[in-house]
Amino acid sequence: MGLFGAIDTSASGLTAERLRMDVISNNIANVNTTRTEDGGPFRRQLCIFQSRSHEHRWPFTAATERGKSPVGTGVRVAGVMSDQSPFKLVYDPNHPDADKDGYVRFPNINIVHEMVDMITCTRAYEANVTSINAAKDIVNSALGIGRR
Amino acid sequence: MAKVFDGRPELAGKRTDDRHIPIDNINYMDVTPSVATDRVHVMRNDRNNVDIDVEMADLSKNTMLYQIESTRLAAMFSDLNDIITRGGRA
Repeated sequence: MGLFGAIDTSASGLTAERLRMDVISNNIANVNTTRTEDGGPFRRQLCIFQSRSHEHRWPFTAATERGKSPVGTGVRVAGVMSDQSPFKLVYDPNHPDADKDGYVRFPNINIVHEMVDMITCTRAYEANVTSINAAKDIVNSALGIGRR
Repeated sequence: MAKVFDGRPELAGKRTDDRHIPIDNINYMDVTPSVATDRVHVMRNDRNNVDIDVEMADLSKNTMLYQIESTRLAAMFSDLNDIITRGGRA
């Protein structure tokens, strides 16, 4: 992993959590969206995380850091997918998007669920920052061995 | 100083034995940094692919490497100072 492997690993976590926060914000913004380009209401989106191995390394890392190791090198977002749960039906005959029975299909987003996801996302981001700071402290204390 | 940074250093230590510490004619013009552009990764739809988290991690790595190397360089000068001021006095 080299001297700074832990920092690269945690940085991948920061990137992934920030993308997840983007997706959650988009869900919250679209909680009442009944029209999309594809037709129909907005579908809740969620991030799929995948563990990162050496093949997915940042291409500019030194060749010496790319040696095979049983330790993984962080996380990557495999994709952003749609939640296939059914839409919420709300009876509102005056709504322009209501069907012939007077029901409007609203997104399958639970705002409380999204708020909780946002908190876990924030905490996960903070955990990765803490991990980076710990790695920095370790390097700095190693530096202290040579200082006098 | 100007001569050295123009790539025309004059001072070099003569060695009469292979085990002597070399005082080399280091030419700073031999350092040729290159800039690589990442056109592979995708970050945003406007094709700006700067990942701020990776950049901040690289920044802290660079800072730590600088601190390590400057500390070792300061220690080397401190050693040389010891040799000059206290050398030969047993």
